[in-house]
Parts: sequence; C-alpha cells; structure tokens
Amino acid sequence: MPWDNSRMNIAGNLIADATRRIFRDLGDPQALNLARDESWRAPLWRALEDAGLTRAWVPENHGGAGASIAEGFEILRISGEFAVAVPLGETLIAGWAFARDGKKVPSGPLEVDLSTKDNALQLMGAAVRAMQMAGALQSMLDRSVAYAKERVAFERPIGGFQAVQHNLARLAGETAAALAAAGSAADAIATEPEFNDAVFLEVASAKIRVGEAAETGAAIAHQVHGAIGFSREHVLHRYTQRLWAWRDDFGSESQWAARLGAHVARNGADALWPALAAR
Amino acid sequence: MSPIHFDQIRLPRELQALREEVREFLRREAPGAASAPSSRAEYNAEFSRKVGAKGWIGMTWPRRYGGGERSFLERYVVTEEFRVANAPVALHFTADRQSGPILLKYAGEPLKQSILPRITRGECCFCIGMSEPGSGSDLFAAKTKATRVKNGASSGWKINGTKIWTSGAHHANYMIGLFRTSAPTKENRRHGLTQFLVDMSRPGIKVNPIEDMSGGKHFNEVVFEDLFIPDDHVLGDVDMAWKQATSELAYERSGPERFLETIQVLFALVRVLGEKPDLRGAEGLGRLVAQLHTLRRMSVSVNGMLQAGKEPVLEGSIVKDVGTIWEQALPHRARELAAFVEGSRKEFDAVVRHAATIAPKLTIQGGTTEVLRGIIARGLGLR
Repeated sequence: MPWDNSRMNIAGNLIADATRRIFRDLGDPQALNLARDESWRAPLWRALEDAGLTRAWVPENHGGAGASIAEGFEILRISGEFAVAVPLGETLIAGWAFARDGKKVPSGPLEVDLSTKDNALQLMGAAVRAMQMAGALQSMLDRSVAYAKERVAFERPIGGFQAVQHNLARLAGETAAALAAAGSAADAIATEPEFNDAVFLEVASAKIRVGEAAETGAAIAHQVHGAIGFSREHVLHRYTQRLWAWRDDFGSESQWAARLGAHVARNGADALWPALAAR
Repeated sequence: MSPIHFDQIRLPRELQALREEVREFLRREAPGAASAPSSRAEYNAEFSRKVGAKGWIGMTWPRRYGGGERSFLERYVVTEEFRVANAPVALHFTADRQSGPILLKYAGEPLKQSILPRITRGECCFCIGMSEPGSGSDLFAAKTKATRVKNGASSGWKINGTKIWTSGAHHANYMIGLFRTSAPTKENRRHGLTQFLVDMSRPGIKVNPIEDMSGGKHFNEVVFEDLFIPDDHVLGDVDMAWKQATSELAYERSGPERFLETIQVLFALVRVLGEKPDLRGAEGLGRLVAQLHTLRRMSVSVNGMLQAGKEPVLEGSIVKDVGTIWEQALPHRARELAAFVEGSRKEFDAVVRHAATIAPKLTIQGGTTEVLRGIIARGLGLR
C-alpha cells in the first residue's frame, strides 16, 4: 500500500529518532575521526543492539525488533548520514536472510558475502548500499552548503559566488537523484510480493544511479571544501571513503548496468516503456 | 536537516485503465507519430480536437469551465503517454499546462467562461510572450510598453514593442504577454510589469517567423504597434506580475515533458543494438535506463506531493535541471553506444540526427539551466 504511510510515520519516526540519537551520541564522525583508537566501536554497537536496531528485520518471535522493510531502510539511510564503518547493513541483511530461511539468528555483528550470487541477497545488499550512500550524500550536501556559507574568500562567503552556487546546485541534483532512486528501490522491495523483474529494475537502477551520484557528488563536495576537505583532520574523507567502498559492494554500477542493459535488450524496445511506466 | 525529500509516491493502480485507454487512442489516432521524429512539434487541429473530446485537455480544471476535475496524477499519465508516442500536442499543450491555469487564477469570470471551454475542446492555441530582443533570462528587463488609454467608453491599454522567440505565435489564438506598465522602483527592480491576455487576431500585431537550426519555423518575433487591449484583459494586479508566480510553476518544471523530449532515441537504441548487445552497448544502455527510471520516480513524486498540497519547490526545479541535461545528452550517448553497430541503422541515425538538432534548446527554453541553478541555490539558502 504505497499510499498508506501512517504506520511508517508513527513507529518509523520513533525508530528514526532512536537511530539518529545513538549515532549522534556515540558515532559522531568528527569525534571518531579524531579518536586515536577503536574504543568507540564497542559502545556504539552495544547501543545499537540494545535499541534492537541491529535485529530490525528479524521478526519479534525470532527475538528481533520486527521492524518493517521500510523502517529498516530508514535506519540504514540515517546510518549513511554518519558514514560510520560498522557492519550495520550486513547485520540487518544477514538477520533478514536467517529469519527468511527459518534459521536461528546468531548474536553479535554478522557478515554477508559482499560478492554473493544469491539473487535475493544481492538485491537486498545493493538496495541497502544504495540507501546508505544516499544518506551519506545528503550529509555531504548539508556539510558543503554550511561550509560555503561560513568560509570567506575574496571578502565574501564562497557560497555567494555563482560558480560555487551552481556546483552546489548540481550536488543537490545528484543527492536528489540518489534519494529518489534508493527510496524507490527500498519501497519496491517493501511492497512487491517477491524479488521479481520490477524489483530487479528498481534495485539495479538505484545501485547504478546512486553510484554515479557518488562520483559527481564527492567531487563537488571536495571542490567546495578546498584543501581542508582533503586533510586527515577533516571529516569529509570519511564520507568519500565510505562511498568508494559501498559503491563496489554487491555489484558495482558497471556490473548492474551490464545486467540491466542485457535484460532490456532481451525484452525489446516495445517492452521498455511499459516496464518503466508500471513503476 | 537536509532540504531534499521525496515521498514514495506511485501512480495509483486504478490509473492503469486510463493509461490503456490513452495508448489505445494513440495507436488509433497517431499511428505514425513515433516513427516521424518531428511529429511532436506539429500543430494538428483535428488531433487536438479529438484529444479534447476525450476530456484530456484541462483535465484538472473545474467542470464549469469544461474541465474534468481530475487529479494531477491522472493528467501525468496522459502527458507521459502522449510524449512517449511522440503525438502532435503543440496546438493545445501550452494552454493546457500554463495559460489555462493562469486564466483560472487571474482572469475575470466572462473571460474564463468564453476561453477555458474552448481550450478544453482543443480549439484554442496559446503562446507565451516573455522574452524580448533585450531581455531573455532577465525577464524583469522587459521593455514592451503598455500605456493606459481612454477613448470614451473603451478604456484599456495601448501596447508597443517586440517579443521574440515566441513559440507558436503564428498558430496562437491568444498570447499571455508580460508588458511594462510602469518603471521599476529603486527598492524593487521587478516592480512594474503586468500580465495581459492578448487576442492575436486584433490589428496591431505582426508575427514574423524565425527559422531555427533544425529548419523548423516554430518560433517568432512578435511586433506590437498600438495594439489596443481592453481593461478586462489584465491578468492579476497591475505592476505586480512578479508576485504572480503560482504553484503551477512547480508542475511546469517537474512534468514528464522535462525529460522525455528525446525519448524516441532510447527506443531506437534498443532496436539498433538488438537482442544481444555487446558488453559496452549493454552497460551503456543499462545506465541510460537507470537514469531515466530515476528521473521519472523524482518527477512522479514531485507531482504527487503537489497534488497532496505540499510545496516541493526545490525538488521540482531539480527535476527540470537534471531532466533537461539528460534528454539533451541522450542522442549523443546513444550515438556513441551504437558506433560499432553495422547493418541496418537508417532509422536510428535519423532519430538521433533529429534529436541532436533540437537538443541545444532543451536547456534554454522555459528557463535556462543557469537560472534554474540559481533557484536551486536559493532553495539551499545560498541566496
């Protein structure tokens, strides 16, 4: 029921708020960036676990949080905003897969083969990474806009220069495309009865388009930040490096594009528009 | 918090029946359009009348003016199917998308009753008089002058000046024109312009065609010499046109026509690559399909949010920016991907050639990329 967002709005907001609070308190990218060791890892993971977020997609009768597919994706989008290298995506997917197969879900952080050939796992994984990347791009846009407003050069904030404004407008366009594509793919998984052709079209498109947005988006974010954004001290590289890693997980945009293109070619020109219009 | 948001909106399933009806209509009434590249730009009175008879012009307008009181999502389905079929909508599309909604909001009752039903019947063509030889993107530099005149009983305005790049002026029954009624003020350089309804059959108007680079004669120079416009043809408040941007603007920026203008190229590419394209062809095709799917999902979402009473102004501008850049690049990407295809490629080459020839205007008409990016920057809080 794509029109009925009411449950998502009430329960979903609680989950989103909890996710954001935990990452803000224990996974702030700037704090992590300045930390000299990995001692932040355990408390962050424990908080996520205690809130039930790491078992979002495991039904309650299997000891999970029983969150909806849509709620799980919202958790992952927010985790992307913080670009923290914890295996939250993998753990959610693995929990979902164990529960699907009627198996007991092991405790602790879980792993998934990032180059799995299992169709459903691969689609879930690609959709998850697309959503995390979209969240990261949102944060990069926010940070870039904020920086352009405060950084002064040639006696005015650089955000006042048309060249910078237009670059940021392009970054907004890429971020918008990423959010729309990843959101649509997540929604398709949530609402379609199975991993069918429609889900394949949506997830492939999301992984491709978000991967492209990552390239353009990161380039602009760095350009706006100038040299400081290239420094170890500044937080921007955490986002850039997450994007570079995530875009390769569960199939790169080139791999998905070759599959999607072959699929479209096989079905022929007359089938293309009806397939798109049905989404 | 991030200023960009898309609600997950899909066209309701019950609109599938409407979509099938539109496809069936187009198969019957515009069978050759898809294979005739320039068909979309044709003024076809008979076709537009048939579209009107189906109730597909002014679909969202009140019934008392000939409208259908249907949703903007229903209109979306009709608009996208017409674009994909390359159907000849030039006669009625401007009135349907822009001029009608302006009249609905700003015209007096008698004008609405006389003109809107004719638009919905597909009998009334509109053009838009904005650009002038000295003012394009900078609308508020317009100089064409409207001077108050009083001749006994007939009080109104006298128009002198020149509009340019006016698409369809040679077919139009009416223009909605932007004329200068007083000087800009020190505080507000946008002050002093007024929107008028211009009856193109009146004396004092000369329409001079301008040939474009594709060989078409779609746009014109329109010269006004002492054209008289009666008082009741003023649309909205005198001097205040700058305030009259409406929510229609967001629909105008975010509709499917903002990325489907060269779509025939993609279909031709799938045909020319064949059932088993090489890896390079498949990979390139896959990217184009992913990009198109994403644009459409953005566009449907914006239209759904507008229908729900929200104001996705930033998202709407982004659809036009990203969409027009995409449709402009499409013929060139397709050309690269088909570069090594041998054998029968005549149809493909013709479609690409036409699309590449119209492509340069796509990021200029109805607001340039530069203007749009300025609007997006304002939405981000940078202006």
